[in-house]
Amino acid sequence: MLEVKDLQAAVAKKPILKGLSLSVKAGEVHAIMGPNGSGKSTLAQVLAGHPSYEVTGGTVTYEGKDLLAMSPEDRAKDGIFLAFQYPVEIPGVSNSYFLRAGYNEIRRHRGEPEVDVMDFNKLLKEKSKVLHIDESLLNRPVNEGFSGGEKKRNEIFQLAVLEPKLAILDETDSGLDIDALRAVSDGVNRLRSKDRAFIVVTHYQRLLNYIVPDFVHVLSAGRIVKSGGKELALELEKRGYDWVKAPEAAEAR
Amino acid sequence: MTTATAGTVATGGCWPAHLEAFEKSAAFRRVPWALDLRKTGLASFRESGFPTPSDEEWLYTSVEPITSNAFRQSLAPNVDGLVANHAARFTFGLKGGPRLVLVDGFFSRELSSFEGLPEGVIAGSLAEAMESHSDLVEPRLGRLARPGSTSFVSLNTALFQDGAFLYVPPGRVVDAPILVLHLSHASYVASHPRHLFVLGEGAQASVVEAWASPSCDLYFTNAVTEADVARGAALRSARIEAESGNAFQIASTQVRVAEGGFYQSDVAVTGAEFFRHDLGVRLEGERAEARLFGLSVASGRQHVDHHTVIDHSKPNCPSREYYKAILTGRSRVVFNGKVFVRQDAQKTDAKQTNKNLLLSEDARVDTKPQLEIFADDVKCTHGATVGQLDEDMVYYCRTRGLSPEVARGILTYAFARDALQHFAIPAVREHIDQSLYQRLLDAGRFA
Ligand SMILES: Nc1ncnc2c1ncn2[C@@H]1O[C@H](COP(=O)(O)OP(=O)(O)OP(=O)(O)O)[C@@H](O)[C@H]1O
Ligand SMILES: [Mg+2]
Repeated sequence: MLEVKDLQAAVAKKPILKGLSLSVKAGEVHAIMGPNGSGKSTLAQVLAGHPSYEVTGGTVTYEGKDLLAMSPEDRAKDGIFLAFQYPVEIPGVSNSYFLRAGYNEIRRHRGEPEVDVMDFNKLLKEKSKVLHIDESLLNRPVNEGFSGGEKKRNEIFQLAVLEPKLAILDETDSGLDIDALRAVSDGVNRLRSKDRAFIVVTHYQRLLNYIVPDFVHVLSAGRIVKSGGKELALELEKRGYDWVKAPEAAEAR
Repeated sequence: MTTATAGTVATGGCWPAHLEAFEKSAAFRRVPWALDLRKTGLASFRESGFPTPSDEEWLYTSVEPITSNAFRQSLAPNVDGLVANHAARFTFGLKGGPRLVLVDGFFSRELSSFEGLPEGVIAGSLAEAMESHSDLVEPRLGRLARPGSTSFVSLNTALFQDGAFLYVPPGRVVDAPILVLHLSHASYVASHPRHLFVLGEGAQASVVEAWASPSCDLYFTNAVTEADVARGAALRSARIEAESGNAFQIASTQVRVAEGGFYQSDVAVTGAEFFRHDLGVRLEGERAEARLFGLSVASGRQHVDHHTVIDHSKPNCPSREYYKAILTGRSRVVFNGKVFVRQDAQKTDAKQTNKNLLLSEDARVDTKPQLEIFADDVKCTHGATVGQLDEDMVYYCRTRGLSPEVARGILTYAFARDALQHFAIPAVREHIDQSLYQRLLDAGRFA
């Protein structure tokens, strides 16, 4: 589904990703862990198409297409979804309107008929129950004044509504209380299917007890320095990152 | 070498001729009590001439289009089938209800409707009311918008021929908003409509002044509105500028609010090539309240200039002012908001905000909030911003499948709604909301 080869990317002329390779097949869940500043969010944003991140080398193929040549909206319409580490507030635009606009764009792209307000609101209601989202959040402006945890839940809510093929979750677990963590994980697990893949960026092994990954990768100084199964997360929890860190990251300390 | 340029005299172009001709006409002296007022207007204008670029109040707005074009004085309305058709079509969300229609500055009884006006309410032509209701008109006309206060008010005072008149007796409440619809339909015509709205003690009314063009004629309107809001009365007014791209308008609205009275002004500008509005509100009694909202959407080469003055002269008066503008193309928007708090106006609570969204590098905003406070126990704030759309927001929308055009449309619409939500007359608010939505989103792109 997704083939990342020797990816190099820079922000503000500063190289962040320095030759990253990753292969994700439909149905898989990949966890990405790694120290602060190692480039996890950068990877997520490059995959989503953030215009400030400059790709300086390597390739990314998504379902056989050159992902890097696609606009962010075309990636979204083709099934890529990023749950932001820091979701953006949009004052004056209601959550439900915002989601319906995106939902209908995606449907149009797939050649499906648009959904009207009534039907869409029904859908929102159902999804909000599953994810234990307070319905009042639906009519509030997108993320504006939401608590940290509410913003994260709202990202997963959007994910549940838009039903992407490849979902990238950037530290969705940070800032969630225990119940919310469970609700969010349940939501994600419900969406797991043989056609859908997840890339889950997290600092905490705990999330991986709920969303059990097929692979765990450690990102350090812009490269994947170690990959393994779910037991790698447990080992990292015990031993920290020093033993796997890239040499240049260790020197920089 | 010296070059002689035509039309650079202060009262340049066609104007001295208009004044001279009108001074000799029967209309000038038809109402004896108004003769002195007109003469004062004439003398004041002849003395001041048009504002020059060095005039403090006209720093960012040139009156050159008005002085350089050869306009004809509007002497009779051009009411034809097209106008009649448009008079019925331009409803601005107000279906049925009372409507006063003016064509080229003249009141048209045949196109107007007095449906839904309670007994005792007088609504119609100002020219007629000057004769039939001089007891109501004479003590007020020219007292709020005084000749000599600005060049254009002087000019209007000298040359006006008709306009709308509204009187709501004490205690009367007019539920249905009254539409005052202006249609201009004559090429190169200058008209000077003059309105007077009088609300007796405890009276209530909503008035929508809407300006539209049935065709694309080039014309100039120099409008003056005076509104007298007595004790405990409430006037909710809206001004909708939706004229064609060949319309030039300069307007002055001067309002007095007595003790415990309430005045709200909602100004929405989407049309006209050139629009300047001077809005002055005097809070003359305790607990009088003013709320001023503005939303301008300027594109192409439009020029929109808002000059507002809120004058607090008595204690315990709240005022709110919130003006927003969206600019594309090479458009230009000026905001100058003065708030005076006189020595007696203790416990004044005044808040003024001006926010501008620049969607093009060639557009330009000049904003100048001005607070002048002479009392010591007051709460006054003001702020102005000029910004662009937040690119993080645009990107976030794009990651959810929206094109950059739609994303910008949604964000721009949200910016506008933030001002629009305060508009007082629901039908007008919804009408503007819908037309904005269509312009910004259904069209897919804002141009
Ligand atoms: N706009 C920017 N300008 C300059 N440097 C940036 C910018 N954005 C990110 N960086 C730098 O890029 C590096 C990688 O950042 P990134 O956000 O990808 O890290 P991360 O692995 O997600 O960290 P965390 O675990 O703290 O979320 C950091 O050193 C960061 O400071
Ligand atoms: Mg991060």
